[in-house]
Order: sequence, then structure tokens, then C-alpha cells
Amino acid sequence: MADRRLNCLGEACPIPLVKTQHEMGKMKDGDLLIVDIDHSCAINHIPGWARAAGYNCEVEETGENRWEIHIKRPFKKET
Amino acid sequence: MEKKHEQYDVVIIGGGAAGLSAGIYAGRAGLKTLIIEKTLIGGLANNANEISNYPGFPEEISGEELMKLFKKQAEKFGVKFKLTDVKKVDLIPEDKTVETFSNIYHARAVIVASGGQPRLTGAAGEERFLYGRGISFCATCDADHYIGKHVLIVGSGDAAIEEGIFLTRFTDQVTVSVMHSEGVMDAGRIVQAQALANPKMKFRWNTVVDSFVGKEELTAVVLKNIKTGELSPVEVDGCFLFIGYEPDTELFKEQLPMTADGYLVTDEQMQTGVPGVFAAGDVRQKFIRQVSTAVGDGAIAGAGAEKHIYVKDGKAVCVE
Repeated sequence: MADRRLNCLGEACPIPLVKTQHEMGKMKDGDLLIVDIDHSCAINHIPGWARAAGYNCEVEETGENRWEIHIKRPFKKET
Repeated sequence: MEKKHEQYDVVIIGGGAAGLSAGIYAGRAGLKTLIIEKTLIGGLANNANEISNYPGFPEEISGEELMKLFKKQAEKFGVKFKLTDVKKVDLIPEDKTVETFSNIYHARAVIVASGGQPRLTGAAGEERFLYGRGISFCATCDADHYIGKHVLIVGSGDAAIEEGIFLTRFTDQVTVSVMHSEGVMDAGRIVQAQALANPKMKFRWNTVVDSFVGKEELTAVVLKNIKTGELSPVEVDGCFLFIGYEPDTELFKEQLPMTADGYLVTDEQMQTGVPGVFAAGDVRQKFIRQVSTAVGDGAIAGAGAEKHIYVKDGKAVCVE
């Protein structure tokens, strides 16, 4: 298991999603990716995509218009 | 992974206008209250470019700004927020549980204000272009991607036509696919007249989406004429779907009474029939789905949760 961090501060949609998809493609089961964003539209796109792709996703609001998106690639049986 | 258990008086599922209003009432009543929201606090209202029929804001306000004020007010009363999706609920016992990826929240009252999700067309290729790859549900959010470009709107209700008119401020052309006969739209008459008079808006009557086409990003939408069966590709830079919403109630099946379409059924006190479980906002079977009606629902549900807890024990035991 490994944690990775992706800095998307200052980037507008769809760049954070494209970068997140690329990064998740490199991850293994159980790995966690934390994406830093400050563009509210990515809060709709990234968790929506991540959950539809079968990942677990939670968001932490870390400040005014600033969020951390936590995406975990599940183990086979984890829900 | 061991999930963390946390106790609340009230857990509200959904952080839109209804959930935030319920939170304001529950928080102000001194109840330890949590709102769980899976995307952005504010819900569907965030998508509205301007809200002109919510009383108290005669100068009009954007949905996002209005929802920020709702949130600020809920925070003032001590309401906590968690941005995640709910995986499972058990609403029937007195000790109700709402489970997320990392937590199990226990509550004595639960308010379901989960709203709905935009309806999809179900046409071929659709899922490839969701989440920022060409198909959008929010003109306010995505209009600036389409400056000087051509977008297709699917639908003819108020949201479709109003957001279409808004998009003409940015785009070169807005084409609207309408499934009805020429001149027939579901939107209100004033909005219809504005749209028909707008030189940047073109209409394709009697059409539905047959398929979405493109490599990485959407480049064309093939429309099907439902009278003749004729297929015609429309080259576009983006497509906005405004064909209604479906209630987000999958989690509550077998626990709460709902209509055949999946809307939750409540009485006038927003009670679902399961003691201590209330529903508010767009997720309910109701007449008009607006911010103003969501606020009313939320207030009643929040007050109902308070009454449920206080009547039960004479006091709210887990207030810190």
C-alpha cells in the first residue's frame, strides 16, 4: 500500500480529472491518492468519476474553496 | 479496515437547500447534527446561474452564493459536515446507523434530503463523455469552456431553455434538441418567447439523442427524428442534458415507503412512516421542487427531529 499526492491547485476542469485518472491508472489495490484542488467543479467531476469506477472517495474541505479528495483503490472484496 | 463509530442526535443525508435548512433548525435546537454530502455543499442549487424567486434577494443571487449563506448559517449553529457518499443505512432500529467508507454514524433521528441525480439519455457512447469530457449538467459551471463554440442542449423544460439562453452569452450557437413537435416546449411561456427570439438559438424539433460520438472528447451528437426515424449528426463542442432528475433513493429501498418512481412518501410533518426518519426537499413526492419549498420541508423535518428526540427522552442526551 502506498499513498500518493497530486497537486492540482490552480488548475481548472477538466485538467484535475484527467490527471487524477492518469495517476489512478498507476495505482495498486489498497493505494490511496490525495488530490489537492481549489476549483469547485472538480468536486462534482472527480468523486463522481471515482465512485463510478469502483474506487472509494471522500473529500476534506481544508479551507475556503480548497479541498483534498481522497481516492482509495479497494482490495478486491472491500466495499 | 476498522470503521470509526460516532454518535449524533441527527444525521442529515444530503447538503442541499433542504438538508441545510433542516441542519439550521436541528443545530439551533441544540442537537448534535451532522450533514453528509457526496459532492459539493449546496446541492442542485449550485447549478443555478441566478435564482430570482427565492424571497429576500430582490437583486437576484447565484445559487452557489445563496448556498454558501445557508452553509454559514448552519455552521453558526454548530452543524458538522462530512463530504462523502453514504454506503449503507439501517433506519428501522431506534439506534439508526448511516455508514460511509470510513465511519459508522449513529443517530436518533435521520433526515433524508438526498435530492436527485440528473437523468441520462441512455444513448450509445454516453458514459464515455461524462465527468467533464463533453457532456455537462451545469451551464454555470461549464459555460466558460464554450466561448465562441457550439453546444447542444437536450430538453425543453425551464432548466433547459433558461440555461440555453444563458449559454448564448458565451457561445456562437446553441442548438436545442426538443422531442416535441415544432413550437412545443415544456418551459414557461415567457422563457419560450425569449428563446425563440434569440438569434443564437436553433431548434431541432421531434428529435432525441441516438448516440454520442468522439474519440477522447465529444465531437458530435447524432439526433434521431422520432417521426421519420432519420439520423442526423450535429457537430458540437459540448452537450448539456436537462431532461429531468431521478431521486437518489436506492439506499432506502425496503426501508422507507416510496412511489413507483422512487420518490419518498411523507406526511405533512415530513415523517416517512418509520419513527425518527424524515424526508425533505426534492427527494420527496411533492408538487413543486424549488429552493423555497426545500427550505420549508427542511424546517419542518428539523423541527420534527427535535420533537422526536425531546419527546422520547425529555432531553437530548448526546449534546456536548
